[in-house]
Amino acid sequence: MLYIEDLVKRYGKFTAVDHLNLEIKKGEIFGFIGPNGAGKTTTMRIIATLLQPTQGTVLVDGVDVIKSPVKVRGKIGYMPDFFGVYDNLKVGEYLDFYGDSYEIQKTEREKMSKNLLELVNLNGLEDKYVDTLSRGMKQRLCLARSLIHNPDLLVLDEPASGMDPRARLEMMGILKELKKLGKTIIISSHILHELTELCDVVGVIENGKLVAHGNVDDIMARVMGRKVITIKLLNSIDRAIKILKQQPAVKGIVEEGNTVEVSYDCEDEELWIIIKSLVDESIPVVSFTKGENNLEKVFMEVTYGYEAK
Amino acid sequence: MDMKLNNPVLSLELKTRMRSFKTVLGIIIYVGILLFVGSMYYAISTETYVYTGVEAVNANQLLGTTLYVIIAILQFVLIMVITPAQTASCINGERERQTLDLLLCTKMSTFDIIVGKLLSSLAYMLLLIISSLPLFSLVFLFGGITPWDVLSLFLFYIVTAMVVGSIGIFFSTIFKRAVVATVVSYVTIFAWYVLTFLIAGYQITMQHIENLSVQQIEVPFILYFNPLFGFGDIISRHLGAGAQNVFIDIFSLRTSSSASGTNIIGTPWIKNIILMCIITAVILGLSSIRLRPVKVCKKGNR
Repeated sequence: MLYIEDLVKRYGKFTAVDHLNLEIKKGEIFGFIGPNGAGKTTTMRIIATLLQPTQGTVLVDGVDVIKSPVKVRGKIGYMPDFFGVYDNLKVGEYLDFYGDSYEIQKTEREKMSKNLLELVNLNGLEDKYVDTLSRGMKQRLCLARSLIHNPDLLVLDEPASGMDPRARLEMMGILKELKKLGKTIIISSHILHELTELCDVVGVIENGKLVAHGNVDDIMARVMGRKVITIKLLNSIDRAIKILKQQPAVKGIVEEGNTVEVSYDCEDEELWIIIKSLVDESIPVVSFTKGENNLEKVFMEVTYGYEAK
Repeated sequence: MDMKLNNPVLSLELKTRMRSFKTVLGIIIYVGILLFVGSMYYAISTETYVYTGVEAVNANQLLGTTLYVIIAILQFVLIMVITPAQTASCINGERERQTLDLLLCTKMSTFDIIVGKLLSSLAYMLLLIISSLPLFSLVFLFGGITPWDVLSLFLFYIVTAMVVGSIGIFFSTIFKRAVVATVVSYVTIFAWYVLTFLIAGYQITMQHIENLSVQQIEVPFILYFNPLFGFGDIISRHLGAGAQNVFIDIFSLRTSSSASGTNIIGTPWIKNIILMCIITAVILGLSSIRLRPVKVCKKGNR
């Protein structure tokens, strides 16, 4: 769905995007993570045909963003990190205007507006003025706007930024709905555990370079050098550690009170054997969690070098 | 076909603009200024005519035509002042409001966006001009001016608003701040008016030096680029046979046979309108290229 090859964007001597290569398959949700100024927004703006790259190729569904920007615009829905609304304009009119801008027929866009407002939980607010909506509502309306022409690819730059926890959850719920509808989504967010839940694949960008790319566990393994599972026990910590050390997939154990953090090297299909080994020996396992906030750890690990510079 | 006639930006601008109180206030102030100046002149001149003993019939006609000239000049000045201020903030206003990116990633071309913005500003100017129509109608009571005169004057106003509006739009695509774009637009328009007169003056002087025996020479072509020259021409035509374009008087120019009215295309104000339309088209084209975020080009040629 999206193919990026050797993408470079320079502003004078500063290189915002540095030889970036990326491929996103149809129906995939790709999470873009990296510190501020890493090149996420620049890459997204190039995909959205809003910025001219210095070098490289970007294809959206096989269409070049430089050669056929108008054609690409019909295939993507873009939601920027910061956006404004028009004064004296109603919600229904707002969607109607953008529908019209995408050359959608009046009857079709009326139908789309109604469905989209329902999808983003803004139904019944067609006659409310856009500038009177809360920030969360505006964000959802902007998401509806980006969907008005039924694009194949959604480019969402920090769609939940500045939202309160409830609004963020609502936004994530809508994105999960879109995932079910088979949309391909490229999303950047600083709320990393939300990306863990939502994304099939993530890419870590630093200084314009894609330093890690793959599913969350793979990235974790590559960047942190391990995959982690946290097991909480009622007691028998020492016995549990002894059993765990016998498992070939276990690479390291960190004990912390009644909790052990186990580094392992195997796929999910084999992970249950580690848990089973404890249960079989009647170790009282209270809970086990596969690396909470993994992406945050990855993010911190990756950005540490950048911050230190 | 339907899409070609439809401009979403124009529809949006008209909708939001007409809901704003500022629009109503603008009309009130605009008509208020025209009315104030017109009534002041009326009050003063009627007093003067009483004292100078001008004959009633002549006095009425003189009053009507002078009032027409005053209102026409004032309206021309107001259009010159208001239009660039309207358009110089239209693109950077979108940028400041953070709505430009959303607009640019739609299927609309940058030319459609630019034209939509210009037309919405022109629609507002047209509204202001039409709102001054009752005031112009008063002039008919005194005689000397025909409805066709007023209509042709309004056409000239619209074309002038179009060209100065397009200058404002051009600078709004260049400068990020509306204030800077507005100031640069005013300076450019002022320089355009002054420079064309200066160049024309220089050409005339050189011709006189080259041939001292010539008393009057043809209108230099560069003057047709200046809306003030066209305005002077249209007003002088409306005032009748005795009146002469003030700029022709200043430069001691000779009007050619076509310019004196036998050929409508050759009349200075029509020539002026045609040139202003060409200038507008060029400026709008440049603005649309300037606004385009991605320049379509061959690979490796960026």
